[in-house]
Amino acid sequence: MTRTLLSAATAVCAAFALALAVPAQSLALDGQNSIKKTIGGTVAVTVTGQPGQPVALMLDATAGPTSVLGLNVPLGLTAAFVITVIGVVPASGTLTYDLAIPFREALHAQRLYLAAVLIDPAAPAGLVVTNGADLTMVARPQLAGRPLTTFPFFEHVAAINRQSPVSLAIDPRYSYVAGKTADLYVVAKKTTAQWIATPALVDVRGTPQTVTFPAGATSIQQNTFLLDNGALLGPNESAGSGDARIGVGYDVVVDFGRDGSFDDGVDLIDGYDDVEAGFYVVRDLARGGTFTAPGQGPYAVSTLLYSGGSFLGQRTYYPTNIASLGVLPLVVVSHGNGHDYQWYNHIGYHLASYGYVVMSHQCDTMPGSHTAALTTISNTNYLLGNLATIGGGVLLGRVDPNRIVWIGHSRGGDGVARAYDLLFRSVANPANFSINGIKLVSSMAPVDFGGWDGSSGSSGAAGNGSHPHDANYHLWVAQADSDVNGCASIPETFWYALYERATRKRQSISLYGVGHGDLHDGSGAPWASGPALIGKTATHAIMRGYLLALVSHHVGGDIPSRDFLWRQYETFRPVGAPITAGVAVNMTMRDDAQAGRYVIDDFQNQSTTSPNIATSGASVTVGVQSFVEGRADDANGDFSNNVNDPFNGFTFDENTGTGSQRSNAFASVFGFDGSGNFLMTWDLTTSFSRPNFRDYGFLSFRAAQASRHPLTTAVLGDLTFSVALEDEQGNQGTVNIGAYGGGLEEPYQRNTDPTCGTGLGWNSEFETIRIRLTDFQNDGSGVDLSAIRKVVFKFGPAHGSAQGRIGLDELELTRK
Amino acid sequence: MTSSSMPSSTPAGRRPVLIAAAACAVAVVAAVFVLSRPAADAATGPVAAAAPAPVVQQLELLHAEPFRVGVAYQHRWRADQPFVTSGWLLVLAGDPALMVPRQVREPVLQVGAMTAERINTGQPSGRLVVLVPGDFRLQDAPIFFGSPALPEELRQDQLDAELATARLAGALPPTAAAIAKALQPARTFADDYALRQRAIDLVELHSPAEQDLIAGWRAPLVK
Repeated sequence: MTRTLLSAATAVCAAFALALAVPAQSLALDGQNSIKKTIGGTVAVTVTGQPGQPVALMLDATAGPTSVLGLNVPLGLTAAFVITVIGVVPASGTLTYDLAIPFREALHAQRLYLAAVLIDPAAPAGLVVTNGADLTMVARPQLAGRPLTTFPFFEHVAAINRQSPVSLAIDPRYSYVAGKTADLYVVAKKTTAQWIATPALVDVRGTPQTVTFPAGATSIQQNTFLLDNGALLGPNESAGSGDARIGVGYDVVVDFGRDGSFDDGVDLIDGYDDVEAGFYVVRDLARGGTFTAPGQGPYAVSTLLYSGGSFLGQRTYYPTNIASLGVLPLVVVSHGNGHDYQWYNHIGYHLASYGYVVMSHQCDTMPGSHTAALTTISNTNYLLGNLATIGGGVLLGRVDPNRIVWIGHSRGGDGVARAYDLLFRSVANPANFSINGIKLVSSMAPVDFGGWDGSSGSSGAAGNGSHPHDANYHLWVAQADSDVNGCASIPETFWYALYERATRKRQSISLYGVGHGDLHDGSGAPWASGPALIGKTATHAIMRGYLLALVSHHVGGDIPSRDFLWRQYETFRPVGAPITAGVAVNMTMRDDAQAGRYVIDDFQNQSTTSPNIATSGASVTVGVQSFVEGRADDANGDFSNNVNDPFNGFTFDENTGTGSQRSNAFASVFGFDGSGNFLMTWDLTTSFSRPNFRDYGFLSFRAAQASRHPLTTAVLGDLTFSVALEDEQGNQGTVNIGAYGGGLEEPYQRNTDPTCGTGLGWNSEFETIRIRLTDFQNDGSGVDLSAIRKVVFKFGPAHGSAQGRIGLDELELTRK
Repeated sequence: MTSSSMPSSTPAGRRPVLIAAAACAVAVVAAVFVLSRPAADAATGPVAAAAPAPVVQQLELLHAEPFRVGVAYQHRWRADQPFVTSGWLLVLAGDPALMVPRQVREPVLQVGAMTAERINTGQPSGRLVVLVPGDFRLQDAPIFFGSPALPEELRQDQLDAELATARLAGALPPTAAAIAKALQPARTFADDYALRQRAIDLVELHSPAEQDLIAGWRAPLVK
């Protein structure tokens, strides 16, 4: 029984206004007489009365009381007065009604007064009026972030690198701010309870800054103010500081009262949350302990080298002061074939210096990746079962079997996925940990010997698939890898097969110019082929920062770490990550279903047979060229451009859907040739469960430039296009994906070792693009997120790159 | 491989007896090798001399040491993963380019119809230290690289086929002279860990540049 009261000014009974008050009747909002509630929220209205009494709710802009014909009504009875019937008092004597507050940014700080009127034949006028109650509506917009040079002109973010500027911006649709002067505060992060208990504002910069929001502003640019130019403190990065935080949280307050106190319902705040701050100043994630400087991170690092027997050799890294750090997560590293377990110092020292126990072990890779998987399990089990004796017991009681990360390289990278498969199918049942303890599986340049279910191979795949199932999964791709080379000729070396099989949260990070051997820090060949090789030093500088973000996010739920896993490298990356020539980093991220995503179209189900129907049931209008849906698989054995191979360069699946190397990854490909502008439109009015975009944070999709296609090679470089949301009224908000920096990277210009057909360009590389839904609303677009009807992708010279051929997939709404 | 397989459920209490029996058996086998050497020379010498250059990639036998272990271990280099109590610890020489470790399927090293467990990479020395299960005669067992595969997936029938193909291509077993030169006294080890320590000693001797591998296997045993 939820209705929007403001739009329900019907069914008014004039006689109700003549009611006489009877004490037995009462009204409460969320159980109180006076509340504050966020716009878009719901208020529980409870009215007590006699069973069977009809009830109407009255609302007004002022409190009254007003005497009408001798009756005392606790409302002003202004021109804004509204009344609506909400039901009949049930046998319990209490009627409950959910009052939905519209999501209108302009409602911020507005107060509404309510009362109920009940029909009571026993009353003199046949009516009784309850007590009054009031509701103050509150907006909680994001405020902190960074300006952009093009629409949407500002990006609200969680993470700001240290020594980088941070600004405040609020779009003019929050009309409350217009023409007002306020003090801007940057405050140390508080929980909601702390804000309620201690509303006093203490600006960490020393003094607040006074600003005036222009009256009549039409752009968020006019309401943008620099808060800090890089002076705000992040975590203490001094060697041995003991401060292992990823970021320092700050809340931002716009104090309209200018009284040095946060007044909820009047002032605006970013960070009124028990968990998440308004923004975080983030440390240099790439800086930490190293082999040559083990004390450089927050904690000094000690190591142990020992063996529990055959294929139980282990090198373990841990904070030297582990005795004072409680129980720490465990990161296990499984090396590749011909590699050595002592070749992962760049992982071990770095993560241990941030409070992780890292164990790299002998991995039995030469027989294959199934045996590698067995040693991943046996070594994890050995460590956890022998903490009392390893290193004299220094780790005893300090390693958490319920927070484990498995990282594997090449055959070991396949092995960690296969190890998870063994746990998932209860083939392996180790004594000292369980599948529930595995919080992340990460593969570096893995092979795919187990395939979908371990039925590949002559007989020894043992039903052990290279399948991460419901593990959170991460993938490192080395684009110059000349061993697990990624050419279309051998599905066992397709880089993304394991990733595509993972069903929970998954991320990938692809590094141009990086070879297979660059991912470890030992001797041996780099196994690198292609242009602009960046070498181990640069590779590890990238890896260290992202590894820390990755494990912090998955193991610790760290909030600012998440930003690193999807924001474009060109504009946001760990401080110490290089931007030297040749460095290019592509990332994908997909939230799991548990995170509450809404899939508009992932081309998986009926959409493959009916291109005009999306996965969600949305109607699709294809206005681009050469549109094809299907398995994201290069159908022949090379990357040569071929008109009969529409998914050329896409090595995410094998082409039959029945083979052992299948991943069941579907996508779409299409082109636009510069002759005009082209559209792809999803009309959600036919979707099965039409989403309210207001319930989500981002529009997310992944896209790739199609390798070696003439429309790709014609202009090498980042490709951009625009995306629009259109509401029921025809209002559109349009964002160019290049507004945030970057775009779709051109394929790595390689065709060596091995050559893979003719032409230049390696695989077609997906990148995830995420656009904040509120960005579509900036600058008066008028688009109503609660009534989105169409999602429109716009290509061509008016919307970005003039021409191109791309793959598109995983079009969905995400919460975060 | 008649005497190499041991049930995994071998009672621990019988191990001393088995170890003693194994030690005796190794001594007998070693004696047989020594005693039979002239006959083997006679049998294989002319063939070896007349044989065409093999088209399969073969390795030279440098060191051959019969072993027994008191506790059976699993040989994971074939699909059935047999338990092993005896076999050969060999050092082989060949073109290091053939031994470069890859992540993709590699040519599988066979000694006769058995997969050889490689202890080291042979880089850059061209010397491989391997464990080969079974009490077979080296003079019956060509040492060669077979087709690219994952050893963990291989069945006996495939290994037999690889051997047959190699023989057709001209693969020959080591000569008696080579065996005699390479043969070392049999050794008995408590378990495969001790056996592998011996193998690592041989890696250090023949492929000393593989320092990380050597150090890794010599990590102190947790007591």
